[in-house]
Amino acid sequence: MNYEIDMMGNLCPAPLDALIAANAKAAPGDTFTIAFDCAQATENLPNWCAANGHTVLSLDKTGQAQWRIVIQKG
Amino acid sequence: MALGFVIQRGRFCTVSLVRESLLKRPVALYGVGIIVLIHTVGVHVFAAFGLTSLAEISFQPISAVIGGLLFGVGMIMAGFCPATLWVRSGEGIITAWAGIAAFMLGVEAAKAGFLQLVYDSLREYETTDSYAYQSLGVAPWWLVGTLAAACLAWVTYELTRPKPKPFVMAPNYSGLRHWLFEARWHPALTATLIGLLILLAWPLAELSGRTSGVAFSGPSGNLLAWLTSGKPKLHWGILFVIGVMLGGGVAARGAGEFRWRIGDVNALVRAILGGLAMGLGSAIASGCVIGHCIINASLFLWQGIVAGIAIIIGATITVWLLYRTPPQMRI
Repeated sequence: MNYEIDMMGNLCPAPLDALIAANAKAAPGDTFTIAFDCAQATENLPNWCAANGHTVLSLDKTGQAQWRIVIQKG
Repeated sequence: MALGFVIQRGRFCTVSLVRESLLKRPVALYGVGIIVLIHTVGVHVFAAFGLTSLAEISFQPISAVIGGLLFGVGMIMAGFCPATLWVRSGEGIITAWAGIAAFMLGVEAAKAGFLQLVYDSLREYETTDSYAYQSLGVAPWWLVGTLAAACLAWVTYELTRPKPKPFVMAPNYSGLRHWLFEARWHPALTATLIGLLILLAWPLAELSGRTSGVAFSGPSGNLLAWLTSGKPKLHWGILFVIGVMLGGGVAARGAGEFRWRIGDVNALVRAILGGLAMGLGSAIASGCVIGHCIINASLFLWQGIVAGIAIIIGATITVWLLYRTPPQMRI
């Protein structure tokens, strides 16, 4: 299943914390779609995924200071 | 301005370096090794050639410990350090503006305001030696060499260690625009540029008649004093912190990352309380996390070493208080 996580307006480390929290409940193959606007998260979300064996399916800039990332649990 | 630009584009953040390292989550802490290496070698070479004089900050053990602890608590609480407060206010984050206001107020309240008595008494006791090499009775170069070798070994180890490659966004632009405003900057590149810029700050400040490296807390307080009373006059340091904000703003504008936004109210309250604690702490200890942990410690000033350690201890306690339960138990 896909988890939609809205982190607009939440500064780091809130987006990464939300991902880790959702990841604890999810099964392998589940996906997370996170909308966020903290520029730092463009670094720490992909880095955390790379270090923990999850795949970043896409990372797009959706507007001025806003991004969307889709992650699949490994 | 260049420093603000590099910090924004390079996503450099001392708070996340400290917090994420303590939480054992991936973060390029070795960047600090690169910055310290460039700064400690560079500044001592500059001094040897007469390009700059070295700031002598006297060692006040009580102020270093108490100010450092207070600052460490504040930076984790706020989620910003003074440098990122200035840079990210340039991105249009109102929370950072509120943090700056509280920070400037904290600095001035301690230095010139109603807390001046406390401030003075904490800073009363001074030791005779300012530098670690004076106490050890050795030439500065021994310590410069040891620190540089340790940093070099650490950075080499981290850069040669195999690491998983993080995801890279598909580029929309090419050439200079891509590299300046779009590409993900490698942490080692960011750290090298920051190291060179804080090194260059010494001769540049010297040219304007100030003996000082990069500093945020003193100048931030001075800015508030200048705005409200016209004293002291505008100086290099005040223009520098404004430049950092403008640099962050230009970088964010160019990268399409500028938007006025407030966001989460809790974060706003924490930025104000944390900003206040950082202001009081950095005024008492005479410096912030970059000033002490990076600049003064690599000058081997006792004040920098002791306050730097106190900042890390304060930060560690606060990370434990705020983040010790895993996110799934908190959210």
